[in-house]
Amino acid sequence: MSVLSTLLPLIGVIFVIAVGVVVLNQHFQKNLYQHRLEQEETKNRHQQELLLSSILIQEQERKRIAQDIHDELGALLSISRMHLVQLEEKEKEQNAAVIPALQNIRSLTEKALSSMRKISHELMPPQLETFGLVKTIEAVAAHANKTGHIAIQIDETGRLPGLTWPVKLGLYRILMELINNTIKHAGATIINIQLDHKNGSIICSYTDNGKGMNLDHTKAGLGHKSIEGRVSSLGGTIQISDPGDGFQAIVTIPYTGEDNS
Amino acid sequence: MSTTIHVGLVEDQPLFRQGMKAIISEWPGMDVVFESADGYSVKDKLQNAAVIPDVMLVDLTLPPDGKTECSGLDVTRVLLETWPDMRIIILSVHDDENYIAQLIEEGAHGYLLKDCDPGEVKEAIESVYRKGSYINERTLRAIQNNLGNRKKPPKQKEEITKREEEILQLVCQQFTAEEIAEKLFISVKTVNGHRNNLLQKTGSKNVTGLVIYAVKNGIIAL
Repeated sequence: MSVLSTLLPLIGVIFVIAVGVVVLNQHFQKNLYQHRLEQEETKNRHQQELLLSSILIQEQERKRIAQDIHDELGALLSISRMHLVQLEEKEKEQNAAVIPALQNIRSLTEKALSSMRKISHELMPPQLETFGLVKTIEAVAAHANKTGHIAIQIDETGRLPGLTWPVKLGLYRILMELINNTIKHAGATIINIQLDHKNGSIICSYTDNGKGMNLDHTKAGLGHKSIEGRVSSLGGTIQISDPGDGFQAIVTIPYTGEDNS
Repeated sequence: MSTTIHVGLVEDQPLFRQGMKAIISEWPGMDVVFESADGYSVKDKLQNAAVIPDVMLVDLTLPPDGKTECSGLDVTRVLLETWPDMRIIILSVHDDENYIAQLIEEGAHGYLLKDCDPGEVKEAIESVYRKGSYINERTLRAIQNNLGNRKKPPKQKEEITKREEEILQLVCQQFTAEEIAEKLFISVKTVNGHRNNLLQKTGSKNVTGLVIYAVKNGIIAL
């Protein structure tokens, strides 16, 4: 009897201690877990920032080269051409024999000019900064529509707010990659691009009426990697699907505010 | 009114500037009286100048003043504010219509590409001097395309074929591509091909557009 009466409180105390230990342990584990999660999140955010900054550095360099090519080389080639035309005018009467040679040189400078424009635009379209994403894509579309092989339609469903430079540039590069893929591989005749702004996100939906894509194959490609890199550097998501009659991609990028730059 | 047109050049590329000057100086009735390699000092330079140019050729891309941008657009604004009678022709490598329309909207009297013929430069200078403006076909198109909303890409107005009409009717009756293929004894691929042609010909984005087209054109009855 007395043994039991002394043991009972002891058991009680041990039980309370045991429960306490378990609860403390759990609490500790939970803290640790949360801490790790936070760490992971910081790491991810840091990595996203690194990716974005390395993309932006690359883009800045592209822009500088594009501008130099466009303005410096463009001016020089243009003035060469003007001099040649001037010379052709002058020599037309007295020295007609040199005209074909002059015309040949002139057509070479014209080719140089057009390839210079193409290279510089591919590096960085000058309109993007001044006139924004929609106008730049519209210019691309107008150019493509002229060829008659493909019709690119752009719909700005919800008027886009002023985008920051990284978002503007990122979306432009993503769209160009998609358009190039369609033109190169899909054999499509229509591309439809819809831009919308809702629920604090920029939503860009892209479809074509081509032969679609082998999704496993697509995901391994360099183009797709570069698109994914762009999207994740902006904290966005991309969904690619193959509805059976064409290709579809929906890019969602969080809207980060007005462009003040 | 003087018989000689006084021309000014605002251009940062020295070889282009010199070349342009040499070309203009060869033309009778024109004289280059002013040159500047940047846009931001143009106003000060002009205020001390003996002769104010009648026509100013301005490049679009000009060096910034420290950190402040000073493009051909800014120069155009400043010049027109101070010398409203001056005629301004933009001479740029930029061939994008947005630039052309924007500059004309901001008051430039003409827009030329640097790789145009020298004869056109001459014509433009004379035209802005005598008539007040020089709008070539390219500039006109740029202005038209930037009036209000841009036009959508032209939708081909092709007649749809009998076969396509047949398929359109079946699509409207909610048959799937497989079912249509079976009914018409053709492959699913062909059905999809027809459907894509229909989308393009009717300017539709999806099946809903097709149905609307079919109803509007009496291909199906409700």
